[in-house]
Amino acid sequence: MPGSIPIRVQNLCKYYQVHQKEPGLVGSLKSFVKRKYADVKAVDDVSFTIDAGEIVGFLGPNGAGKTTTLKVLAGLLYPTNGVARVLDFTPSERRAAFLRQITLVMGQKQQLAWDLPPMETFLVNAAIYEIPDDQFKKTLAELTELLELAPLLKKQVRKLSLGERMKCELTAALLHRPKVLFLDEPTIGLDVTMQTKIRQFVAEYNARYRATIILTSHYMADVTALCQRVIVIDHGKLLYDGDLKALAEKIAPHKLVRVEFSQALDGQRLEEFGEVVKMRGQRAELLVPRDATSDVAARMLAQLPIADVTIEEPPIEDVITRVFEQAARARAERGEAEEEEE
Amino acid sequence: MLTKYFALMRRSLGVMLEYRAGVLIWMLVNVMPLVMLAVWFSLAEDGPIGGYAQADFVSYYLLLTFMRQMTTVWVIHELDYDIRYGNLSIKLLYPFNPIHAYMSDNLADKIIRLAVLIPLGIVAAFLFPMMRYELTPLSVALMLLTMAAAWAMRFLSQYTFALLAFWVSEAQTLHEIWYAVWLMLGGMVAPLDLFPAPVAAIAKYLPFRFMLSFPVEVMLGRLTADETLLGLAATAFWLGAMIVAYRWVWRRGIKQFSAFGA
Repeated sequence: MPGSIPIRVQNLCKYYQVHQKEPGLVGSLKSFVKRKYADVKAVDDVSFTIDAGEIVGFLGPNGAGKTTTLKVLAGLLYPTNGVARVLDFTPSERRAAFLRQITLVMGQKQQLAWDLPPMETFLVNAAIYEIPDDQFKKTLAELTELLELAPLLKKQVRKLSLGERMKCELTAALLHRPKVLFLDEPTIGLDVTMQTKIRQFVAEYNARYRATIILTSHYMADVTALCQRVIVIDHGKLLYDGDLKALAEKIAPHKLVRVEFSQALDGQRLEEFGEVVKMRGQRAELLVPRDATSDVAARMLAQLPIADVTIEEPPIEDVITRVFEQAARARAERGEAEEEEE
Repeated sequence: MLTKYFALMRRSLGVMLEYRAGVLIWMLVNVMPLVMLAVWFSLAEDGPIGGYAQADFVSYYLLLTFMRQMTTVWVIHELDYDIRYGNLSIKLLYPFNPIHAYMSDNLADKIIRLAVLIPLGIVAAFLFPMMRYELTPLSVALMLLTMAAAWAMRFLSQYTFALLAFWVSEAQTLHEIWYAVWLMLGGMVAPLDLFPAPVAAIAKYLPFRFMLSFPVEVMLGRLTADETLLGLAATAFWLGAMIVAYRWVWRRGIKQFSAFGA
């Protein structure tokens, strides 16, 4: 039944016309007389669906098309091509019934009135979203408890710290209890403690209201803590959609074996077990082919003076970097052909 | 909808009251009608000009000052900025047309202005006993109606100019041209009767008059019943045209919006 799938995206494209200018005065004059425009494919033929209650991480370098996709889904942008459906609405029609059920939090934009305490904005949103009085009080009380807002409600927004402000932004965005949340870099610029708090809060909100959430973040910890599934995009193209763990297995054919020896050891003796990436004193790190890890570990235990051994997935940052490198190589190979066409 | 307006206006008032001095200064810079009054007052020292004696200029320009204050609109600066810097995104997420957010903000300002202008008006009535107005319930009702229309036209025309920022970066510059014509033909530099006959004959039907001086003319009692009716019809026509233009530009512009800067 299509109604049960809150987010459906099919062959979505969003192109921007960007006006190009050479630097300097001469460039400015040239561009004044004759403008050069280029199409930038911010989102290029992307398809996916997201089930109710899922938290999906959107990964990609700056300019990959993550934010553009979120903005199309929130109804801010018209798609150039393709179909986007959210809660069975077409977002770009911006129906009130649709907007009342979603929210978009942008770490770099704020809706709180700068000169007033956050409570003023909360009250405005209560009126705008037609939140019944008792529901408003209840939700606000819940959010106040979860995010420890009590001391902030009456302080001027401009006097709040970045982290405090983000907590209030989240509150303002969630007072109407949206079913679909688009969180664009909600933890940007926050310290580690605050990042953890926001993360816990997102998980709690998801569990409590079975909300569907798409999250973008440059902090992999956000993604690993919250998302089972990730969608990786780069240059507007979808590179991967699926389980975060499976991505690591697919992209990184190795596991990381950390060993600690009971006595100093000649590094060369390790070479036969795998690729040595780090060797310092009595500690070493080796990359070992995924299938062979248990075998290699057993052999090492038998043949070397080992005090401790752990087998880990390689850091997710490395995995993602590898995905983008592969994509860049593939583009470079296609690249020459494309340029000849133009 | 009314609840939403009240909530938004309440917050706008809160912001304005944080900047008390700023609000008063912005009111004071809108004194061009008083400057023009000083000019015409001294010119009319030796006798009436085109049917306007000194007392008539005082009556005209003091009420024009009030109209100028009550129809002040600055939405072009805000909307143009919001479009070009992507801040419109926040307002587009609200479950209603963003124009309501901008309108309620402007209306909140009018509450503050009224609170300042009413006492000033009473003082002015004592200082200038020569002020003469047609004070009938009908003329006052008509003045309020045409003043509201003047505000709506000022707001809509500026809003529509600001929407051009979806395509060009010089929306404010384009509006400056419109603004200059409004100053000339809206009855600011001189009452329209004092213009050369051919200019006055055309200006009488252009939208600018209905965006400033028409409510004043109604109160001065210089218009015949026919002229008043014609003015009301023209007001309705131009207001309707502006609503149509705004809708047309908005529908196209929003497709163009690229929400930069975030």
